[in-house]
Amino acid sequence: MTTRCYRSKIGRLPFAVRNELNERIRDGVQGPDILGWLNGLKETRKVLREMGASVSGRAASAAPINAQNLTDWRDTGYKHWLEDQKDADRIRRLAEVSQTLASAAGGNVAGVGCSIATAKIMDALESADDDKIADLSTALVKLRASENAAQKVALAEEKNAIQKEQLELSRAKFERDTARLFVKWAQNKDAIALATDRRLGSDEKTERLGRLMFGDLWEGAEDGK
Amino acid sequence: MNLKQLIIAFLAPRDPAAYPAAAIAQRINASRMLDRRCTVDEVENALRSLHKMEMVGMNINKLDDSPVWQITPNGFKEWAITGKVTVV
Repeated sequence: MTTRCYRSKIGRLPFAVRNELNERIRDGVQGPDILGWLNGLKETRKVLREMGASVSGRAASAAPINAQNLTDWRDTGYKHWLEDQKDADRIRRLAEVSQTLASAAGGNVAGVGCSIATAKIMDALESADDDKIADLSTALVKLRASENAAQKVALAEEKNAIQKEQLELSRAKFERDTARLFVKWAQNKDAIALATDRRLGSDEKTERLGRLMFGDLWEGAEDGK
Repeated sequence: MNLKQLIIAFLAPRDPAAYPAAAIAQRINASRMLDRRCTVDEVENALRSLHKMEMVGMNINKLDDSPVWQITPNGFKEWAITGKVTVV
């Protein structure tokens, strides 16, 4: 951005008014609406009075801002303003890239170190040409994508580890419960009789012991309910 | 634009970057947006004044114990009011 001096009616308006005018032009507000608004401002009247007085030497006001003045402004001040906006956008984008790089290097985004690193990277980027910055942006996007992929893999591994741990716990619980059951039923005469009955096959023993130990639950399990 | 406005116009679009006063002075002078050259002392004074108005924040660079400055939410508001002028 450079300092510019405008000598036109619109160019002599305060910075804030010119800025709002530029925003209205950019937003597509129609000329007659802009002129109505602009000529109604006290700042505009003041400029017109000053211009009229300097020309005539009397307290006469210059003519209101007209469509031609606005067209001229579109070709000069507004065009410059648009260029300035592009510069501002470019700086903002560079700041975002710099911050990403600074934090990717392990910096705490909210920390002072990261802000200082961001400034250093900004300095380097601002002196680089657009092609190099575009290459850097592409590389950053790829870096982000690979980081995301690595994060997904890490999450999946973590999930698997949790599931494995849960299975281990279930197995340990099952073993403890089985041992407890054995201790309990090893003292039961009916159970001992069934277990030691040589006339019964293994499946039959299992079936009868199951009924003895679990009652209806055992039947339910057998039915697959 | 005055020096304080230019400091904001330098820091705000570069948020969250934090700069020492000397770097700010150098960049403002390079932009030629001020009608004269500014000194580092002038920039430091302006920064302290902006700091009192809570428009810039100050931190210490632990590497060399020097102050670095960055924009604050209040500074952003001021930047928006003044049309987001940017020191390139």
